[in-house]
Amino acid sequence: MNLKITEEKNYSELTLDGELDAASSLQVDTVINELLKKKVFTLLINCQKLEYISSAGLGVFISHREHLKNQKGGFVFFGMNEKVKNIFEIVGLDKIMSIKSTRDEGVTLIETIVKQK
Amino acid sequence: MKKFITFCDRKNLTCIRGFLEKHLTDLVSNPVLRNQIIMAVDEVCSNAMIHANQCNGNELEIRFQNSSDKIIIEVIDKGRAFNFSGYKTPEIKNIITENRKNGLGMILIKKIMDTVEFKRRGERNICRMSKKLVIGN
Repeated sequence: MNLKITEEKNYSELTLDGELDAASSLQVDTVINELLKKKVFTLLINCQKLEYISSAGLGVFISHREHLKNQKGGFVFFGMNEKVKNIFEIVGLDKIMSIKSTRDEGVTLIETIVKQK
Repeated sequence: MKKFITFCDRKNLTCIRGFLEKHLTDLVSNPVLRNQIIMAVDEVCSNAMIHANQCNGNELEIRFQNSSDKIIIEVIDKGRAFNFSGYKTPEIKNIITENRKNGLGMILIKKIMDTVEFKRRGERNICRMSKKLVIGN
């Protein structure tokens, strides 16, 4: 999996390119931990090139969710394909995670979160 | 029956998904449903690699067969036995409130597949899963 981090003024965008499984989830977890060390608590997750997600991938986001929330931040996902979105839906994570269709919608929501800080 | 033999290393999960995609494409036309089945098997394989075999390079075998109305997939390894009957599947809400990385895999396997059973035969663990094929899917 290829990861790209784009640092914006008040948040970072993490682009996931490829398959997020039990192997690559370790890499994503490390990157998120590094961002947390830099006090980045608001993360826009670009899923436009994410082909696959397993429970290990979901687990990475579940494990950091509360920490981000406590820091008045959070994850905002956008651009999920139907297969990836379906996996979030099966376990009900679409109800507790912020998932938007387009990047514009994602950015709008993340800017709202930043303003509320 | 189609077989795929690989080794207990997380990096091999991609190849397993490729094997499954190849054989499921003609049987399950809906890509979302096909992905669910692939994911359920991926979860069984990653559990076998990580928990039963500690990613030690042991052999892992995937067997795929289908009849007109269902598919049967078996995952076979020689690692530590998994006590399926004694395993209590966690609640999703507890995984979320406890910020857990693990635990969702078995929930997904049970939700996606019609039957799931784990057996120990000699030195081998056999996970056998089935899924009904629905015309039009």
